[in-house]
Amino acid sequence: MDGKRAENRYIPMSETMFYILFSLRRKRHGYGVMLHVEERTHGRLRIGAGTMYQSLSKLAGDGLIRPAGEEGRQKKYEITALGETILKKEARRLRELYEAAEELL
Amino acid sequence: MKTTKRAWWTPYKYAVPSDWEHFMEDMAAQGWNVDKIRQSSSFCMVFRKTEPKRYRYVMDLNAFPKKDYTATFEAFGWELVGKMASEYIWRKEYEGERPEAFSSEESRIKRSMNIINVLRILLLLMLAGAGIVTAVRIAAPQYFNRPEEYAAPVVIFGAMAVFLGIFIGKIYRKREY
Repeated sequence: MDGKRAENRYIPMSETMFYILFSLRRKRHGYGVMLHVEERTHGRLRIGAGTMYQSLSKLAGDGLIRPAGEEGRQKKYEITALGETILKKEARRLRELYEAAEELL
Repeated sequence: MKTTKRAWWTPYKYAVPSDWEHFMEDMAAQGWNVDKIRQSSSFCMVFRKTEPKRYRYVMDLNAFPKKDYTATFEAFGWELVGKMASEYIWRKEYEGERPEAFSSEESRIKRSMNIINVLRILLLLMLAGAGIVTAVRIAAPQYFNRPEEYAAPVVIFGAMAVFLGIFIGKIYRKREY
């Protein structure tokens, strides 16, 4: 998938997708991603197995992450250059929103 | 005392996945549990009397699961109870908060749409069947000696299409659950 199409498809991004991509800046399997996201959000966001499998399949299919080995029967993934670009674009959009919200308060 | 109980046509009676899951969880809470789910369970589910259990059941249609599908669910603590066609049935015993396998609304809708898309294909096949029989009736009436030879298949295809339409409507209305 090219950058423009990926941008149209993923931005704005759901919180779940954002944290999965964010977590895959390091090689992790689905369960590892769930643990990392749970820790990062202080237990607020707990991604379920079905949501994780769907999200990883979608991101891998669109080239935002790629397989990076296996641990037991679980496949590990890592973010691709395209995934990094999309994640950073989303982060910039969120920063803009944050700055606008700051101005209001 | 009865030690087994049978429930018929449960996936059809509870067409919406979340309704079927609640039915299974209510049975488990009353101490009626299944050891294994197989293709035949779609028309006859055999429950065995056990201690009451707090199970979370999850139904997930996955016609072409990738290699790590079952590994992902199992790593999250889900037990594969079995399959009915391409419907994977998972369960997890829990205390406290009811666990979710589909934690985001987007993924719950996707789960429902996977089922709806399969039902839509079946609905189109039924309509195509009725259409083909009607086309043959018009193009080559000599193949139909009695009116019921035409009416019977059209009524069967039509009835199936109506049932599928009702299922699609029910699942669509509760697609985010």
